[in-house]
Amino acid sequence: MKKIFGYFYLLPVIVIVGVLIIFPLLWTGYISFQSKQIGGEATFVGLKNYIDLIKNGDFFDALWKSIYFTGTSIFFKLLLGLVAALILNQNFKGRNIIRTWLFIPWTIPRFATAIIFLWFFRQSGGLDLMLRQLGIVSPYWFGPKFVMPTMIFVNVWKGFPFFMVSILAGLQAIPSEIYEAATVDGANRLQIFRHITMPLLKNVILIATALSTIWTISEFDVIFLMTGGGPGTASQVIPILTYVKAFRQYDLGQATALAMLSLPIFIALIISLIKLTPREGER
Amino acid sequence: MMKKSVLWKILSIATIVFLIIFVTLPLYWTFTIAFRPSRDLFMKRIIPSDITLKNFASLIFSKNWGGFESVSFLVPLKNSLIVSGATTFISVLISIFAGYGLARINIKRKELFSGFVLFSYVFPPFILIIALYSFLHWIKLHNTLPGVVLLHLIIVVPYCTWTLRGYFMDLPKEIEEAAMIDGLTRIKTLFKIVLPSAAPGVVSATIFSFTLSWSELLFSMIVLDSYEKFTLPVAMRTMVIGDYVDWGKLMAGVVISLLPPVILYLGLQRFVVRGLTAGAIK
Repeated sequence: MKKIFGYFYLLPVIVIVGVLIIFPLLWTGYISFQSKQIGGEATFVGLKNYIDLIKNGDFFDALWKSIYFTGTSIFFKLLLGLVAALILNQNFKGRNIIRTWLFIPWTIPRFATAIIFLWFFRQSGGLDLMLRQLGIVSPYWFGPKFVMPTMIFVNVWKGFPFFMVSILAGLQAIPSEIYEAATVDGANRLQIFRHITMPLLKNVILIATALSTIWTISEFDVIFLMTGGGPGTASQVIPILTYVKAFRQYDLGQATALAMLSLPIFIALIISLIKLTPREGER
Repeated sequence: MMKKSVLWKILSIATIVFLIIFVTLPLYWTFTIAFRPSRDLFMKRIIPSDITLKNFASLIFSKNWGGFESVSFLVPLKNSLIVSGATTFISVLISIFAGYGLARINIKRKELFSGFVLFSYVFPPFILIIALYSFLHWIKLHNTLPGVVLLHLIIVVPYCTWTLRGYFMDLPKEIEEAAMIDGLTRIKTLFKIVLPSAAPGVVSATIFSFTLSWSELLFSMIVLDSYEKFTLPVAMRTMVIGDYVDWGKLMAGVVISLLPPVILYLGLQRFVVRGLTAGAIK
């Protein structure tokens, strides 16, 4: 009896996860084999939705954009975050203020970030007005050619502080004696970084990267508010395409099939995150 | 040797200056547009000619912030406060029990449950929107604020549980054991002994919950149809999809929306890191 009582602590969470995540996921899987419009009846069509998505190129087109968006964003977020953390790990005046200031983008809600950059990158917007002072004519940042780099820029701006604070916390957990010993042994900056700092930071960086990859590949708000996936389909990453299929084209069959096709990517990422996370007793 | 370290210093300073500019420029525009007269923008001025609260006043007191419906901007503001407040209260309450359960109670397959909580915490919401859209219609919570709260629980509860689990696990077991030997029940021990010591955890879980719910767009958008029900993110969206965008008002709205989370986070920076990295770093 006492044993079973323990589960009551978890009951609300189990209900929420079960009713609002697992059950909808199963329903999503079920609908993906049906032809269904919003409000319409469902008829079984087998793998048709999946085959259509792959044959008409929608899935791979969106997948490629998602990978490009996520890969490039993560690279720059990690780079800026690492560099910022390494510098902020040194002792200098004003360090805390700078750290706080650089952290601000992370705290701004995604929808607000989107609107901030909608102004910044639009024609006669913030960047354009400043570049004109320098005599530079800025390109159309939301055009087909520049829209993805623009989205990546916004994502990096918003996301690099996460890497910065995570890596900084990791750096501060490294005891200073190790550095002192290495310096006494005559190691130079680069050697210390390669052989001491990086190995000790590895886990922190991997966890931050795994988390950020999941968040970035499922980024919806910023791209949706800034471009809606456009121009045309130029910035239509997987989450946007899923929304468009469901709520613009009312094709729930294809939308759910798309969600199911992207599911393995997330499962793989989440499992690697769980594996990386220290277990009880290892902390 | 001397030269090298000077070089490093210059490089470091240059990088930090670059990062500060990178972060500041978009914010500079946001705040100056919110607080400057709108004629400035037609004149393409970079430096504001004047500082005014006009944009905030016209956003709040006029009734056409977006579309053509006559609803004051205070309505989405109020709705957001209700949704975020309710989501936070329910989530923190549920998560105190669940987090404690995962940290302390002896049950089978605890690792599996913990894994599930972490799984739900990072699970991408967009995969579920179609099912949840139909589900809310089915349980007749479509276009209601409780419907939004329900969906926000999906995002907030796993997050909160995971954070609190970490805080509870770090507390020394001995005090609780002593309390229970003295005859306190588990629940009483939880509320009288454990919670006060884990107060920083509860505070940071509360703040994270509030801001997660406050910022959420996608779920709110699929639930809500009518202007008088809109939360802040959904209302702000209608302001940018019209043919004419009043940037002064829009940026005033942005400033109103970003201030609560920014202030809350910056006030609690110390707790932020642990929450962010799922307790992987101390």
